[in-house]
Amino acid sequence: MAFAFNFILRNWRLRGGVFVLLIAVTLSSGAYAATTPTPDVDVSTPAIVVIKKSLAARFKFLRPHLESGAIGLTHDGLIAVRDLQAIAVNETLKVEAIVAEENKDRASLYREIARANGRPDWESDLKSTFAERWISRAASGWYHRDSAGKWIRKM
Amino acid sequence: MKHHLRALQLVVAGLVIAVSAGCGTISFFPAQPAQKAADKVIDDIWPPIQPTVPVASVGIAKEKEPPVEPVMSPKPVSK
Repeated sequence: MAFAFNFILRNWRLRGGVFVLLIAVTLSSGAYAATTPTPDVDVSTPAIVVIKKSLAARFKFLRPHLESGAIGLTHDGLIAVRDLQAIAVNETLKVEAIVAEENKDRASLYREIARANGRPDWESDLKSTFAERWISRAASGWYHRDSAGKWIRKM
Repeated sequence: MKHHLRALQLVVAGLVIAVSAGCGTISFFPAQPAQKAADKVIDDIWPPIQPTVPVASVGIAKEKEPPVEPVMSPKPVSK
């Protein structure tokens, strides 16, 4: 490493080459950042409209369970059953089914937004962004689960 | 020596091209605008969330009402 560094320093032609390389990398990364499109997360396609309606309609059912702590938000933008005992016995299966439907819709929402932006590779970033926003927008008293699997009650 | 330098310069130039091309395939996700837009989506899904817990149960004491004085019926005036 030291040898290579000395070799570059001693040689003016090589020094020039490295200088050119640094400028080129700086310019190309700057140009790339400037041309990178801003994600239109609020994009609307027929599929997204349907998913959003479905999520909004389901929230009326989920809300009391979020408030009781029976279900909570997860670090990956989904929801999960936290405390089965907080759910009436005759409702357990129904709640579990609705949680599964909600997660299916949420996963579809992230995928569709990424697709609508022409960037399917953004799906994972969108998932993380939404996860953070869902938790941030949750009411105090609701639970969320961190990446270590620990449930935290929002203050 | 000159040939070596020339070769090295070509390698460097190749690296520049490779790095520039590579940048195009790296996913650059602008997080801040995405967060704002995600909030708009959440607005459509979640109505404004307000706690449904009664105010009294979270420790804010209700103001004590002043005692109501009993209304006395007028005493019959003895004639």
